[in-house]
Amino acid sequence: MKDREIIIGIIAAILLFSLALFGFSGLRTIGGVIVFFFVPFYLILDNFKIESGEKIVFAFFIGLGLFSAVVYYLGIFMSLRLAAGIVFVVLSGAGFLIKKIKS
Amino acid sequence: MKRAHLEAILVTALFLFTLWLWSLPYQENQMPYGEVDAGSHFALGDYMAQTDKSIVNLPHYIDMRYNRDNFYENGKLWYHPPYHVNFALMEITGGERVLPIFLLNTILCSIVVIIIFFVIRNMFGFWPGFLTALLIVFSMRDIMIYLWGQWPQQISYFYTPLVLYAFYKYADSYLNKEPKAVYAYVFAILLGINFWLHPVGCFHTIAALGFFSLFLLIREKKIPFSMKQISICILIFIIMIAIFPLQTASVFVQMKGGSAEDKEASPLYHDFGGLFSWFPWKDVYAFEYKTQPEPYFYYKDMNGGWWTFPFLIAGLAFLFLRRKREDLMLLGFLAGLYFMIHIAILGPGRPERSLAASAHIFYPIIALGVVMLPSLINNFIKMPKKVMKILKYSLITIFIICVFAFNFSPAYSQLKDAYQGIIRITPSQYEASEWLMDNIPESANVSTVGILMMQKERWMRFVGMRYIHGYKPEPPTPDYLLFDYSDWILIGDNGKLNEIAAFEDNVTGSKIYDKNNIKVYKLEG
Repeated sequence: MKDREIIIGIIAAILLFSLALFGFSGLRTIGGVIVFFFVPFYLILDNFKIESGEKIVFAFFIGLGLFSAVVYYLGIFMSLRLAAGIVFVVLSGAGFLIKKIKS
Repeated sequence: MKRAHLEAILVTALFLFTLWLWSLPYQENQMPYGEVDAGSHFALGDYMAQTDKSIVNLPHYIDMRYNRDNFYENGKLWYHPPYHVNFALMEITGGERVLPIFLLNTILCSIVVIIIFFVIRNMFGFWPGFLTALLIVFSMRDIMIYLWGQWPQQISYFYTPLVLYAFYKYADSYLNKEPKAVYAYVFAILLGINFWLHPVGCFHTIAALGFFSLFLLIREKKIPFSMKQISICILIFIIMIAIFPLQTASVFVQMKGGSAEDKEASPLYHDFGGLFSWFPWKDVYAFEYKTQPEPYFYYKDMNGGWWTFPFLIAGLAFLFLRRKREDLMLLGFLAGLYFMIHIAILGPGRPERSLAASAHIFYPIIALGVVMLPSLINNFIKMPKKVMKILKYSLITIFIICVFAFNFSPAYSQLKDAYQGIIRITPSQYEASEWLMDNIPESANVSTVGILMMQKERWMRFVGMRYIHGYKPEPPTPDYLLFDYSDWILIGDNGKLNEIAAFEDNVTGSKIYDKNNIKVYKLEG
């Protein structure tokens, strides 16, 4: 079994758990945590030579601060919802772009 | 299946168990709760979610209480924004006001399980990592802070081991002559976020980094980092704290502290005898300042009794005797926390708050004491490898049994019984607050008569997004009066009910809300 399959399995378990305990609102919240705070910075850190577990942990704890810092400034001038969408697309895109350039 | 995958599954199961346990306070009753700190954090995130805009200037209902909390420019947001933007994003994503914010807090406050497992597992192996994570699930001081609502501070404390780990990885690679700059930059970014979440947590981290670097310098007889790379790290950190200038300036203004007279009047000032105790001012804080309840200051109450203490001593002995780089990191962490608690002797600091970070360093040392005890004994009494192995796994088994026997029950009771009954805002009060939000102007002042306690009044203010406060005869003159009979009917206190009714009889205004024994009048004039 590959690392990526384990990560997907763990995420699925967490989502199912949150659905069972907190309903759809809980599922959406935990889904939001994963999508906003984890995914963009994981895609970026995946381009660097650090251990697999480190990528996961660092990505989440960097995302917890940096993602919302950028959203905050954009949110002064536009809808917070729109700002979050833009930041997600730009950061995730940056992750893919770095990968493409490196390969 | 690889061993690493099994470990990941096991620690995920532990994290989910923690989520279940720590979410007990709101699994059945999803009304908001917590002390006034909790309300203010909720209010900032909730305001951004409700208005779909970032907060710069404080709205009236927050400004009336927190105007001066930004010491640099009154009336501006006083916290660095990311934590509360996270709340807003989750409220938007979750689609309701209360559960997403409380669930995010549960995730972030219990995520110390993951951090501590990750750090200790990577430095000392699986069992020390797992035992530390297991013990921290039931850390009473962490649970108390979580329930009271000092969330950003506690999460900022969690970053200390993570930042130290990133720095350790960089310094270790540098000392091995294969420097990995990526760890240095991750370290700098995490330290910046550490500051954003709560400056005190960042000061803890910086103190620990200072001691760790000093210990490495003594051990290795050379500076443990490249001056060029560390200069870049400092630059990254400065840029990050400058990104939010109003909030960072407020921190620095606040750091100037009170007057020299105030400092000297403190019973902590120049109490050098206090250096010989981990927390010497229990009575001052528990009985004089009354900042926290008495058990908060006692090892046995916060750690399921004294049973872990011998392992703490064993773990310390192991670290002092072995002194490898990773051991020095934990000793640096411990020395940094000791420094932050005792710096109050010289004037600055909030030692009672710093105490809340104790478990994050005590527990890894305790777990090391358990796992390394056989090898520690082996230094003095030689044992065959097989006996050592049996002893190690026996100790691990006993430890796990003891955790569930002594630590589970107090933690479960604390969480299960937290803010139950009418000390939490009731659905009737929540509904009335939301009605006010929808039906009266944002600048309105609403005085209340009959609200049971200040925490509930604050929650009504923050849910209602209007300046709802206890009635006082002095200004500001209220625009509205809210009479709440609901709590006193449940308590059955007729005297208090008559008192509220007598007050209501004298009101000259029009009744605009009357539901579930809560009434609101718009006052004339």
